[in-house]
Amino acid sequence: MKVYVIRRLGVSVFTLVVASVLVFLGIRAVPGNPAIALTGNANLSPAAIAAIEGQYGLNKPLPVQYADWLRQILTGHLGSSPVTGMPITTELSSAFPITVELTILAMLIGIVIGIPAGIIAAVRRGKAIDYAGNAIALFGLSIPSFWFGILLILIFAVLLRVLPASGYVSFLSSPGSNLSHMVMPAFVLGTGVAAVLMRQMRSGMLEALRADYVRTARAKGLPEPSVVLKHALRNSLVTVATVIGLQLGVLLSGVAVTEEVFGLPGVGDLTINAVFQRDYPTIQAVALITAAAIIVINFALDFVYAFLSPRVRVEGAQ
Amino acid sequence: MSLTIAPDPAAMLEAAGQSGRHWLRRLVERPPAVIGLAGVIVVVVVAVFAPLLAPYSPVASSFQAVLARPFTAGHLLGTDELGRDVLSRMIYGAQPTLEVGVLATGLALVVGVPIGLVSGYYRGAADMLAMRITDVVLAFPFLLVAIGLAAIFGPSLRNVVLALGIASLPGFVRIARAEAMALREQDFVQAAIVTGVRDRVILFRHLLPNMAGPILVQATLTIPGAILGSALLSYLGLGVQPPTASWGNMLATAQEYLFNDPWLAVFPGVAIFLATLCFNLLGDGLRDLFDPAMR
Amino acid sequence: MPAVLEVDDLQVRLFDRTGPVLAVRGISLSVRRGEVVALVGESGCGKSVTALSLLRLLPGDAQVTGSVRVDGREVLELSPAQLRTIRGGEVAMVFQEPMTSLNPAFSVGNQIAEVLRLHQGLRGAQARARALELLRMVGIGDPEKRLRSFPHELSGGMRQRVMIAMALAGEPKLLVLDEPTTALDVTTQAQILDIVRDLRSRTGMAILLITHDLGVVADIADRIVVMYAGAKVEEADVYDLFRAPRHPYAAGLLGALPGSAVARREAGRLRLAEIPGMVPVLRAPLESCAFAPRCQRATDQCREQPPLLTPCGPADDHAVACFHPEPVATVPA
Ligand SMILES: Nc1ncnc2c1ncn2[C@@H]1O[C@H](COP(=O)(O)OP(=O)(O)OP(=O)(O)O)[C@@H](O)[C@H]1O
Ligand code: SF4
Ligand SMILES: [Mg+2]
Repeated sequence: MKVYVIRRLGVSVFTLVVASVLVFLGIRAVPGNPAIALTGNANLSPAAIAAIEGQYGLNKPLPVQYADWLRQILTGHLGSSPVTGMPITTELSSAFPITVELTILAMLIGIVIGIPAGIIAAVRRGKAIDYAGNAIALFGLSIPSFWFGILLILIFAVLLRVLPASGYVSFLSSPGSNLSHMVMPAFVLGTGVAAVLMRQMRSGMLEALRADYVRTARAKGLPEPSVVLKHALRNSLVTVATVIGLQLGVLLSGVAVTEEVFGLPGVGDLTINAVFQRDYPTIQAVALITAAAIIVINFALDFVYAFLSPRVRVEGAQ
Repeated sequence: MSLTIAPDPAAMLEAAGQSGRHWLRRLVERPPAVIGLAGVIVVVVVAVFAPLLAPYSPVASSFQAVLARPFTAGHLLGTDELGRDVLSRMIYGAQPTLEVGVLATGLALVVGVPIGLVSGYYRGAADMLAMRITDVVLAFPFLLVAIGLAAIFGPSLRNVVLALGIASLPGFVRIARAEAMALREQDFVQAAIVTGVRDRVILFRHLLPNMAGPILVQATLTIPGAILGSALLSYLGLGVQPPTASWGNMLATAQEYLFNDPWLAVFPGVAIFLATLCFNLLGDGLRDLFDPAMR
Repeated sequence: MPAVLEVDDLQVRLFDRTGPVLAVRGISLSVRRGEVVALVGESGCGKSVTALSLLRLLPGDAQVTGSVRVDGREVLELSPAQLRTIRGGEVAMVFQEPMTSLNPAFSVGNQIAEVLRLHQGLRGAQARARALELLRMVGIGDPEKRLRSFPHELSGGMRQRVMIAMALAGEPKLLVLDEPTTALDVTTQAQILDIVRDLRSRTGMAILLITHDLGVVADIADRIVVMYAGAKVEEADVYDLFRAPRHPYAAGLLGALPGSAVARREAGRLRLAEIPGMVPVLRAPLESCAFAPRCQRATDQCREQPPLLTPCGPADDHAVACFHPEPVATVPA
């Protein structure tokens, strides 16, 4: 177990370093002078450019620049946005909770619907409920989340006028209002997550139910719910944990577009606005933080994985 | 009376050959897969023959008929805010959607399969490298990659293909790697290794053809994801730029007119949904063929 | 003495991708208390399917007819709740696949404790003490540590011992061992068989031992049931069968067996495939003897109608299904 943790930690740190190098180099790949990219001002005089280069250390060798940049980030200095003039940390700290809340709500909805649906479909394989579950999951998988969001707005905000079409209220200032703004976006994302989890859960469960150890469990005289929910479930959750790791990027992309559809001022919204305003420092900061978040979540999933499947504790995740 | 001998290798080979020959026929026996296949064919035909099928030019505006309702003024699906024929834009909009779906998947396949093949066959350092590459790719959501590319090169269809292609890479690496690892242990590959057949021949003659099925399934199931991704990116304005029509950018404009002209938001969404659904149905059908246990 | 297990005209029809398979075609057998009955036959002749149908462990689409009585209770007609008291309680089973029959996600202790809780009502410290005792009984060293081990940390032989310990945990009246040694190396095989022999003498449990290793049978079985293509072709006391097999198939199996039991054990795992040809997969009822294509004694009669099981002396519990049984003198004792 200790070896496993150290190995996974090493892999995560390595991935994080490579990702940060990519993010660092990305902004240097923006056409034109990096000073212009960093300040967003295209009409700088050569003297001004030189001054900024000095300020940002752009005239130093790349590895030194990278080290400086890393040091700044690790001490919490993400720079400021050339568009709004605000420190990026300030902007992120107001956007972050929104995105985190939305993501967590969506995951909860997805898990609460997807996992039981997958189990039921597998246990009732070939029955009407299995076909119905599969058909619904296929719909959930095929429907564009932003369009689904627009449809919900059309129905619940425009036609029925029961929910707000867009905007955000913080949970602390008004929990009820917060949830009424969050329910549609969370549902839109949650159904997508549910569809993926349901399909994965079903196939993982079918595989587990065919395994010899399930036959052993039945031969012991265990009641069917124990056979399914203890012996088969534990092993099929392994594949589900893997899929969650693989789908994080898709989920977070979905979160961003959903924020855009519902006018939620989260990280996704911040980033998308940044692209059109050529606010490169903000994009850089978000890219780095997102990559770090995904890597950390995957590291956490490695533990879930090790818990579910004792074998990997010894042999390593691959 | 029927009496068949159980594990007769010749008979098994013949059965395998037969299943190979008739897989298309077996696919056609599944109604959902047939619907999927038919839908995919329709999308392809519409995209390819758009100029012949579209009643109007997709970019010609007519200020006499702005935001005409469906079934009026000679416009089956009405017109948009610039008086452009929605049906024609829908037909042309199939092009970038399909293009991105196919090209991004193709890119991921062409790059991912060899990586997975080599890493699964050689293991060791090659495997390590491949796994670290996929780790890094997985750390960046495709939207972020697309944003980065748009920031560097400006928004374009090529960026969308690249972003979605990169994001789809790990799936192909994993499949090819798992298949290569499994096939490597099989007798015919071991025999080839022992008799000194060159690695290149083993990889491309022995391993690659034998993983064609799972890779085809992966490809068919990657296309719908790429279609959704491309619609998402073009909804955000990172894909095909107006006035060129794509289902995604049509939806983006439609949202502004949601209160008075909601139908504008209905048609492109339905089109994206149905195209994605059909590819998923076809992909599921193919997967069931190659892995009946999962049905 | 009443039989613990009585199987009467058991028929099992399974379905694979190509269609129905007649896996078991009218098997009858009984196992009494303290008795070891061996079920032998080549791979694919329906031994495992027979075993699984005793506890109704076959896939849901299997069609099972006939009768399986455990202690007089008809297993095929039990409600799910009643069935669960039989499974692991009255009848315990050790499967052919030691590597995959334990759940990789749970510790050995956890998996044994389940049986103790279900069938013995033991929990906590009591369950732990009993589990340790069981592990010791099947010859596992350092049982304290093994209780906490996960299956992947154990060798095949160890896993099979754990499976046996788990089977014994319910204190069953009948223990079904489905080729408990096939997947193991020779030394481990011998050790596992010693455990079985020891159990038999200590507990007086009824044992149904499935194998295709006749060397195993000679050592520990009382009676032998020979199966071919899903049907019983010969049944006899182990001594009678080894001395004078009457069915050409049984004779063939024995003829393929060199030397004494000791020599055979040393020769290692012995397969029955020395008879040319293979066990057929039957998809429709036969109107001939299933063995006819491989039988040197076959005549037109054999190809026109199936032989029925008939008593064939000299002992009165010896029966064979053959039109032209081997003469008693062909195989010297
Ligand atoms: N789940 C199943 N579905 C369909 N057919 C099956 C199934 N299990 C077994 N069979 C078929 O039933 C027949 C008998 O199989 P069984 O496993 O009982 O043989 P066996 O005597 O135990 O052989 P072995 O010595 O290899 O274990 C075989 O033809 C096999 O293909
Ligand atoms: S009945 Fe005929 S074919 Fe069958 S075993 Fe006896 S002699 Fe051989
Ligand atoms: Mg068997």
